[in-house]
Amino acid sequence: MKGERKLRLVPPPPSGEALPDPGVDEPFTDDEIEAAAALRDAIDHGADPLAMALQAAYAPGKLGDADLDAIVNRALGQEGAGTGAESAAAEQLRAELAGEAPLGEDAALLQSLRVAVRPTALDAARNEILIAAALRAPLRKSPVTMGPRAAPSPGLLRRPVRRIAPLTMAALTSVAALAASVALFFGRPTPAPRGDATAELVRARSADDLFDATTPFPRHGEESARIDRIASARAADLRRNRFAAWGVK
Amino acid sequence: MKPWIAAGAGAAAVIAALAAVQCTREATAGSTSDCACAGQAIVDGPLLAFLSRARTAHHQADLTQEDGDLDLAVAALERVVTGPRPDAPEAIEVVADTYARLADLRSDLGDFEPALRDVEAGLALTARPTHFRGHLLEIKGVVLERRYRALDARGETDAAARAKGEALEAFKGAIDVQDQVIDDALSDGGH
Repeated sequence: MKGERKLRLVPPPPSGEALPDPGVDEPFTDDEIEAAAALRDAIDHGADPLAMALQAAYAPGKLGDADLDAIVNRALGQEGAGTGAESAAAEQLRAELAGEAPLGEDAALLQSLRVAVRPTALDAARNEILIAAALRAPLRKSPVTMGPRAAPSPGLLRRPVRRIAPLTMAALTSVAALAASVALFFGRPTPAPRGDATAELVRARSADDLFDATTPFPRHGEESARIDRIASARAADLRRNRFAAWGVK
Repeated sequence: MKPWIAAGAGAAAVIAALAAVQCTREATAGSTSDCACAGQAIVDGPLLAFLSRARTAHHQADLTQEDGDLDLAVAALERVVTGPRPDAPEAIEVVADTYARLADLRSDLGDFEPALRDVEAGLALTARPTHFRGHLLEIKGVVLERRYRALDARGETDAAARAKGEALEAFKGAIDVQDQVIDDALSDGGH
């Protein structure tokens, strides 16, 4: 085929002539250098979430005692316990909501919700402008809606629309509501009866049976061995409970 | 009535009827609160979290005790008895056992009154005759024996004699509980 390129063997360059280095890239642009510097700063200051996550996965740091306590306390029902990172995030969010720091994504969402729940008073001048614009808009749109052939008054042109719109909306709403109801009725999974599963769950109980009843505990020592045995046994019980809850036999 | 109002009312009625039917079906099928284990503790995540923390504290105390730092060992174990715990029998037994170890360590440091308070706190958790209760009574005897020797060394002979008598009483109580546990086990066929 004409114009089609074909591979062919080429002779090597004469000795002494330098080959182009395939490893040399084009020089970095100013934007790339600036972006690289910004990323380096973010990583250095722990502000880049991806880099932080990778670093934590590769070389996880030690969990502080306070954080460990907070996690365990929360697992045991003390909802108010917070880790250091959570406290810092909460403080940052407070500062953003209080206007002491630029609004982040979460703060912006909360701000929007706050305004939606308790809207602030609209400036009177701005209110007038919005009302005037809203009143002008239908009048401008009416001739376009009905077409350019006739040019009666705008009020006459809007009457058919007024009649049709409610009926159409009512019909569409009814169909959508009916569809949603049917989906709710038939599509929503009904929880399976749990009587059998819960009956199989392992209950918390005395750890007596984990130790030889005919041998009292030694006077000193072996406390760690005892708690090891209890924790290991209950870990196995917890696995059984989870499998039972998932319906696995 | 305008047609769109009638259509809207009809749709609302259909939704309400279907929702009522669905609620009835759910109530019939049962829910979490109706489960057979309602009100009874099961082995769950919080229990394991507590046991893990207790295990960590005891191992931490092992290491610091090896280094001779009994105060640090006490501090590690105090977190087990002062923190929240699930209302599960094995968690309560672990706390009682931790009280026993705290009493042993504190009395070794010469803090006899706090040690005896630990013993009493542990005994309050273990009313049933078990080896946990027997161990607490034995540690009570150990604490009182140490106090007796300390008082005797200071020449406080009357107080020393009282402490010695209390120690003997505690050891006797420990033996009684241990005998009862062993007898119960043997009467059950040794299991």
